[in-house]
Amino acid sequence: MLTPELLCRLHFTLRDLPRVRIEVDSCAAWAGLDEPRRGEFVVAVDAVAANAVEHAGGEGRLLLRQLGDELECQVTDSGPGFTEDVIPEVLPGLDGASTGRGLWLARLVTDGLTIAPAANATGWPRGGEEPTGSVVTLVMRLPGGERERGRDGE
Amino acid sequence: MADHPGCDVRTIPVQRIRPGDHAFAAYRDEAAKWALLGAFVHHGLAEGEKVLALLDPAVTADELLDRLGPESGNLRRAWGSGQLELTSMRALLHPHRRFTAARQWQRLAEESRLAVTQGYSAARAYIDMVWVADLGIEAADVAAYEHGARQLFTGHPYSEVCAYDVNAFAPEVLSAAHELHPVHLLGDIGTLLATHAATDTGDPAVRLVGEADIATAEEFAAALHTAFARREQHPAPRLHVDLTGLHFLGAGCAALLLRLASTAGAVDVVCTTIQDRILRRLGAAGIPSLTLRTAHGEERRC
Repeated sequence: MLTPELLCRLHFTLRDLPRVRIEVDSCAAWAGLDEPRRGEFVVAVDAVAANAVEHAGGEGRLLLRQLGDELECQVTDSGPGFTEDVIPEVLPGLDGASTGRGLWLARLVTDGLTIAPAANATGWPRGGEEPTGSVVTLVMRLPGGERERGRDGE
Repeated sequence: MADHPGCDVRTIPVQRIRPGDHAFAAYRDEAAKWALLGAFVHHGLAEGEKVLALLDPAVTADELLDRLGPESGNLRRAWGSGQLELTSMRALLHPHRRFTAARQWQRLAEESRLAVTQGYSAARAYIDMVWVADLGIEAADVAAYEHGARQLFTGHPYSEVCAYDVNAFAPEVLSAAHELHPVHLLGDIGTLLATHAATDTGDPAVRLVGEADIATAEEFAAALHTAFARREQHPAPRLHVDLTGLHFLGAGCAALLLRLASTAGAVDVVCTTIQDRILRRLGAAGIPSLTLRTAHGEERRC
């Protein structure tokens, strides 16, 4: 079984989103995710975090880990909970409401997007509260197997 | 289109610093100072550069790491490997006790050469100008340093941010320092600056700098509405939208741009490769009047 490697963990509100993007970009670069996929990954993470801020409680927690040759980003919110049904099947038209467009894009540019109730998530115990909130998990495959970690040995 | 009408300096977000840039930054408080430094450091690490933080000698490594990313494994790895280094101007000049501009340039040039021999793509330094007080330097000497520093950026893979505390320097010193830097940084991360101008042919143009996300979406929308309205008032064949100064274009703002473009006449958008990909994924190809051109010169009519 793969041992996850913690890259970063952040609590965020609206004002923290620039810092979230900066840290995710930096960590993804370290893990070996190159442009332009790294830039698209940051857009996807921002869309999920923005969804938590705008529609799911106004804040969230982000956990970025590396599991083997994959990056996994979990965003946990404190909203009423939602499912993948909110994501349109096809790109929403430009003249209609924008609901779900960000999540639609996040699913498109990553290698996997899943949504689960927060109570089932790992890493964020909720004490005795009634389970609320969702965890959106994004997965991004890293290029080319084992990454060279040259600088660590210098 | 000029970056700023009547002015040849560039204003960029801190994440757009590149080797060769000598940038002026001003911060008002502790929060702004650390946010700017954090963005500078993290982006340097992402670019594979050696990052030097020349701060107040009182700042410890623990404080630096806690301020920049208390739960960032990436940051701690960079610290452990030596990719991120904390120092001060006092330490940099050691064992010399007296500041001279030439000595400072020499030491920074040595550091940038060392970084390359260590395998980094470049070196970058964030210099908190608190060293001026720490070393008891006169304001005139600071200006001399800044004026002559351009030699550091010629032939060296090196970039530098000179960060001034607006509460610690006289307005005339800040103004002179501002004038001496070819690159100015937006004061805060996560902000958006819109500049309306006209192209050489008189077409209306808008240039957006900074970050376009849900926090700046209203400003982004207002800037685009103004630009589209200017075209209505002064009928022109094309509207030019320059996104290349945007470090971040989120899904919502990208969709808003496409929505406006789909209801107006011809629109030329200049953008980065990633922005191009995002706009296309969101349906740019379905808007016949929209032309996307990447900053590398690649142009495709949608």
